[in-house]
Amino acid sequence: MTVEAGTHLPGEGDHAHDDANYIEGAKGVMSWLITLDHKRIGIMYLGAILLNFFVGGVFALLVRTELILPGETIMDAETYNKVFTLHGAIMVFLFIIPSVPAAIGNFFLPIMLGAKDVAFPRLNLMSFYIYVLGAGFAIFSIVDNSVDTGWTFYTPYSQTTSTSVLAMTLAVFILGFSSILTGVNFIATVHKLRAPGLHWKRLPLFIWGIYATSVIQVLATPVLAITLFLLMMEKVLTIGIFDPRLGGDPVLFQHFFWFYSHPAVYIMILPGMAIVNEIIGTFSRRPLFGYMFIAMSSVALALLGFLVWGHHMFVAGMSEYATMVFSGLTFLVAIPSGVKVFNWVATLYNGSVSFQSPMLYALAFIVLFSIGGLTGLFLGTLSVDVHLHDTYFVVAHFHYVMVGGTVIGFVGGLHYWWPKMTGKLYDEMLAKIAFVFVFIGFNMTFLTQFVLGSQGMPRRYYDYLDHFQPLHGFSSIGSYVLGIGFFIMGFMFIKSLMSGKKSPPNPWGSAGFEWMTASPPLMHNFHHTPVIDRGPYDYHLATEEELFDGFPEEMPEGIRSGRGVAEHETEGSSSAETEMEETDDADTRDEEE
Amino acid sequence: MEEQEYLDATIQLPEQASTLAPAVDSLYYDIYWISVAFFVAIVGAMVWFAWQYRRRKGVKSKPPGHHTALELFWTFSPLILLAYMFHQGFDGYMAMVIPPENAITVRARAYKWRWEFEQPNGMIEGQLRVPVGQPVRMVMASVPNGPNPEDAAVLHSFFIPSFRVKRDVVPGMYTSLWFEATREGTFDIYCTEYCGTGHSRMLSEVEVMSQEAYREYLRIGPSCPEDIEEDWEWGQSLFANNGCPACHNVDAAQGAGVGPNLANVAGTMQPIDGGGEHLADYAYIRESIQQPQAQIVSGFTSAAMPAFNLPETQLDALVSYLAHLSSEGSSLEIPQHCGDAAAQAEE
Repeated sequence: MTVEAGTHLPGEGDHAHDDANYIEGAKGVMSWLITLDHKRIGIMYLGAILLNFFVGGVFALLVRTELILPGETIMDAETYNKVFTLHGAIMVFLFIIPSVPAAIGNFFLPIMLGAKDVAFPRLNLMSFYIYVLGAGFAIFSIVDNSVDTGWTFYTPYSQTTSTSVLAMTLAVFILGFSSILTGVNFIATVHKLRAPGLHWKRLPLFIWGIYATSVIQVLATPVLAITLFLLMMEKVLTIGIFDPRLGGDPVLFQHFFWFYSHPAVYIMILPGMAIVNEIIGTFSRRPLFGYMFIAMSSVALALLGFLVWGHHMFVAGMSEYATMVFSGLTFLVAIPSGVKVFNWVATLYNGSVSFQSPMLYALAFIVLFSIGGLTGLFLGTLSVDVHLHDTYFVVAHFHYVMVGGTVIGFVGGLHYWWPKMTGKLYDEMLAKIAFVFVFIGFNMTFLTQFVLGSQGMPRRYYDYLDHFQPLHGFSSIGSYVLGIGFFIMGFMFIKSLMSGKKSPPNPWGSAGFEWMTASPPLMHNFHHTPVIDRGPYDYHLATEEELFDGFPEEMPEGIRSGRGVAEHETEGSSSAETEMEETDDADTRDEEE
Repeated sequence: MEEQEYLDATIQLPEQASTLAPAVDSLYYDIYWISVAFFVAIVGAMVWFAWQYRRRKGVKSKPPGHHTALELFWTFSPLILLAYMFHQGFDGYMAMVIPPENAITVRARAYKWRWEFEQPNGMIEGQLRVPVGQPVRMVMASVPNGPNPEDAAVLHSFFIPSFRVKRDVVPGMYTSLWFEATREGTFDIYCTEYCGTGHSRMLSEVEVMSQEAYREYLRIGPSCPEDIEEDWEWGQSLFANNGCPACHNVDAAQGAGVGPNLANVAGTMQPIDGGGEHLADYAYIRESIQQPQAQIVSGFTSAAMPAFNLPETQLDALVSYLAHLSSEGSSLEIPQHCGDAAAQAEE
């Protein structure tokens, strides 16, 4: 299916602006607020998500500050319980679940497919406003009386507490629809709007990852909506679903909740892995090793992820038969993740590896996700989980996969695609400094917590016995180091927006399809629909021109050699280094002129 | 026959104070070393390849071919290790959920935000005491604090790290776990399922004692805490820990609260509801704690004091405390349980 050249999306402006990029193409706040352009919607999501990441991060620092010493440090127990709950709820529902799909996915999925936009642009805009509405309810809940139930809203406590649970569950209920509709949109787009020549086996692995994520979003999120709906109905109508005094079962809530929330963690990790695929390919200048296994492992994670929810409930009061089944299936779900890690490492072999900041994050992902995944084995093992469940070991495990995994992947993607989205370069030295703070700070904070947990320190504790203080104190200091890292990163990106160097179309020399557009891309992405005749990692088939087209003469050599923007090389001409073969085939790709 | 060794605390794990602990720890360390091996291999290979194949002038990357056999190998071979972990874990878990035939049963009740333990003979305490070398089964329930909706029972979880046992305490059902303690001593008990404001202070301790000491404990109740010399001091701490100050003032100047002021009560005549008076002697004060409504002081019939069926020794200590608060208190004859004199008397 091709898109007619010259087709305009509504509200785009007249033909005279055909060469305008998506930022300058239409002016004024309203042109952003009612845009149907997937790129602008992605940028608006990005702003909202980063704001929520900042708020959630502040709550995290408050938690760690309270815990640096036992007893009351900066707040009382009631406040602490609200702060840790909000940290979790904001990070999970307002930041991490939408992060990659809604911000980066929205921006790049259509471009990588050679499409002008997603299948349903209006639905896309609506998804954004549903997100905003959900966020509004969350803000209301926070200022009303906040929530102190933990982000998991377990009953009966979530029904007996006097905090603002109704508003927050309503917020999450609404946010779920944003997630579902985005998923529907992406699935339709991948199926129907691929450019000619782009068959499934040539899809960028980022697309495979987002596609698998979308399947989970569509199938799992409705269960969360129903669960929260039942919670609200029980509270309002006094019917017995989870309340034992009315004949209900508290454990039933946990089953319903985790039936969504376990697949949800795959919604969180798959996009992070999807980004890592792209970065490793580009910065090794090599196709991903085992493309089909990586693609299929994403699908396997999506499907298997639905079968393991009970591993959150081994000591909750389930039957032993159930615990056995869930433990066994949990071990199976470890396999697809392992496959990806092995394949990423194998991609480096015989590659041409450079270490600019996006690659540092991708490599860090491999290290940190490996720790997160391996510690999952402890928790999937029944007898060991009895000791570790509900301790800091669990907290450390999920921060390794969600932060060391998804956030690191997201941040790597932000670095990687920043020049494409903004048309500007960022300061590579600052990026590397921030990376060091982030990596060290993260490990200081969370490696410590594995030991706290195995020693028996329970989670969600405001106060703790004195002998746990040294580890808690060290962990809290680590969190400040991590915070400094993100602060430096934020400063770097703001500086880039204000005074960053102009970026060429393809600063990293990637063979990926999204780099064949301008930086920033045109309003409707391409003048003519591209026809695809190679895969996105085929460095041996890509032309020199494709990889370095539009390279301004004054741009330093360092970019192509992979040594970063800040350094200059004085010898030789650029094309000697990477020596990509000119293909003999006629280049049928119609590029940005 | 091999003697099982129960290890002391390491950096990662607490001491092995129950028969279940060695199997859990050995599996933990198996998983730990397998993880370390995989981590070193993965990160080692990553760093090695990244260095070996770093970008150099004139050196091109080579596209990968097809290595299906290798991929199938490393996809399916980890299943062997995973199957081992699963099997051992399941085995250990089944041992944890099937108590031995000869286990004694101690009931646990979880309130917001305290634990209560009921021994087989009905004695109730906030601290758990068990004999060493004897399987103990805990049957646990979550209890509301009162009839109002906001006092309804919530989830808790009973966790003794040194025993490697844990089980949620769920309103509306009984849950249970079992353990056999292997060494005498005191070990921490935590609530480990978030239950509200007091979640982190819902702490208790399990005291493991010799089987003989445990029998004595069941007979007369807990012995005086080691750091307390005087019975009245023990009574004072029990008074505070059992919620008495909620209704009773002990400072004469403060007058009555919901219940009578307890300064200068012991050894004096008290007006009884229904007419007459009664001397507040040892027997009367004990009855007032265990069956408050039996001979209630006039003017306090609607106060609704609950019954406190505390162990013998603790009741005695409370009477000692009230005697200490009264100018007439020295006339009471109260069995002593604290300090050297008491220890000699009990022998």
